[in-house]
Amino acid sequence: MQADFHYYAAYCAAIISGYSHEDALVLCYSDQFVDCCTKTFLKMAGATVHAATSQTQAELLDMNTDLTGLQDITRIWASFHFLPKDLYAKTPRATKAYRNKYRLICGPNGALVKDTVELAKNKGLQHAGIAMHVLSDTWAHQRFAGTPSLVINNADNCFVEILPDGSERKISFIHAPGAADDISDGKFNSTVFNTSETSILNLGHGHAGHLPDYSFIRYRYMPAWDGYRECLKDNPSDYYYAFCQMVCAMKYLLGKAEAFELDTYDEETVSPYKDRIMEILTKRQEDASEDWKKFGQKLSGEDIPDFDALKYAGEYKDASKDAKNGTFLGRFILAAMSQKSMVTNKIFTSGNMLAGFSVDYGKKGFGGIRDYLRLVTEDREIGT
Amino acid sequence: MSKTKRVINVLEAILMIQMALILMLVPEEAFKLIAILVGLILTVYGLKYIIYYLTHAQHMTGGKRLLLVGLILFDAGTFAMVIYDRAKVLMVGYIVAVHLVASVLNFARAYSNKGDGNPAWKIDLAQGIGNFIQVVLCLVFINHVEIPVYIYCLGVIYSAVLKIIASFRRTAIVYVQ
Repeated sequence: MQADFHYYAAYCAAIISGYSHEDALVLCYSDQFVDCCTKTFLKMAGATVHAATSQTQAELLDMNTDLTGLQDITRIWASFHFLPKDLYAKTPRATKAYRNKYRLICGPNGALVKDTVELAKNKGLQHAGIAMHVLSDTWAHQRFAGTPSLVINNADNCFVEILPDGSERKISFIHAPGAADDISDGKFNSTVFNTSETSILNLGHGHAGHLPDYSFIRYRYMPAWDGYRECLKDNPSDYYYAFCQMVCAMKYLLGKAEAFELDTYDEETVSPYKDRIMEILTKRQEDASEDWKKFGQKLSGEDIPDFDALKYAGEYKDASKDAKNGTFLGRFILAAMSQKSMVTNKIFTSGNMLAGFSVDYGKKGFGGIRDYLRLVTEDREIGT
Repeated sequence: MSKTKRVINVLEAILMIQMALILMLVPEEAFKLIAILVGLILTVYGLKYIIYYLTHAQHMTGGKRLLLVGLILFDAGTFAMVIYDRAKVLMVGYIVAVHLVASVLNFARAYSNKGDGNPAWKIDLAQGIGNFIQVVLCLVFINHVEIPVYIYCLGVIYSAVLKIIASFRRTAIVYVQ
């Protein structure tokens, strides 16, 4: 997903759920900021790099894909962009090494989605925004894993787009870094095939290019891991379900719902807007931000400022050491570390070492990366 | 890239250049050493692919291709090690084949990149021409053992120089505020 959904659509979902304009802005900013909070950005702001929620291409290319490098990559991408669906999935006749990767395949309505939303309860709007990013990406990024793996993230080259009139067209991929997609002719950019299992070229949905990130597209393809079975990816439908599930989650976070249940979508609340939302989702365009923005402004009657990744960096840099955690970025950092810590722990306790070690503070006291100490000492103080 | 990694890369590159220069001084002996080394590398790569197929790629769509690549590399590697001291012409032919395949791939990549508007096509074309020149040299001097040795050693020196350049390249991102 891109800023159109993570920022503007998240704002719309927040308004429909009952958030005020101001709170909805904080929430949707945090949702989109997950894609911007890289180590490069954090170093510039003078913050801990362990709070990174994304990585730039340059950072990835510069990383060693040794054991600790791979664990670092996996912690970031599995926690925020490719939340594993089933950490205990069965894989008959497979080695443990293969099974561990298979279990990191992302998908909606996994137990970790519920854990993510519940973790954000009573933790502030920044945490809610992060949870919404993670939740919506489980729909867009399903069938790919947030760890470099050829055997999971590779795909057969035969991608077929299903056009609105029902006809089909073969999708062609080019491998030119930085080249733009040609959505009218069905030519998309994707990462080049690399036979190294742990190459960063085999991270996430690189082999499918940006297809999972475009809301309008419907296509068929064959994932590497599904026994030669072809799957249909219906993005407009998936994105609509993501929107309805976000409304459910936001109502829970607001205290308007008792619990957040999986496989539950608040279609009733969203139904008055369904036609408009589907119109935006199915419109053939690379970026639907303008349409979502107009829809959001109509919903709240307020202006939605454009997203600016540097908006809160100065506040954090200028704050005294004691006041940093109370700033916008400080709260986001705590929320990000909390989410990363939770997902890493769940992966670790499932017997899977791909995200590295996790030390349970409640059982064994503090250990590991010292920056996480602030999570222990100050997390409860921040609150809403 | 971390400073430690940069230092290690430079030291590795210096070692590579020294080894290449030493081998160029004794081409007869170097030929055998290189033949064994190439055979060994191919064998290890082949085994690596076969193990990868058994542990991972057998579950992957199109994974059998990797098994095939592994078997071919393994076969080529063991073959190269067996004949290293007996069939010099065959070994030259082997090096010719490797460079020919590499040059064809370079040309194909250059053609594809040019079509995609990727400026890297010029580098691919230059590398393709370089590989092809090596093929021609090997064929012209097929009875001279020292030519493939010099070509191999020059290739090693070229890789080492690239490694040193890469180690000194700035990799930090400039953040424009």
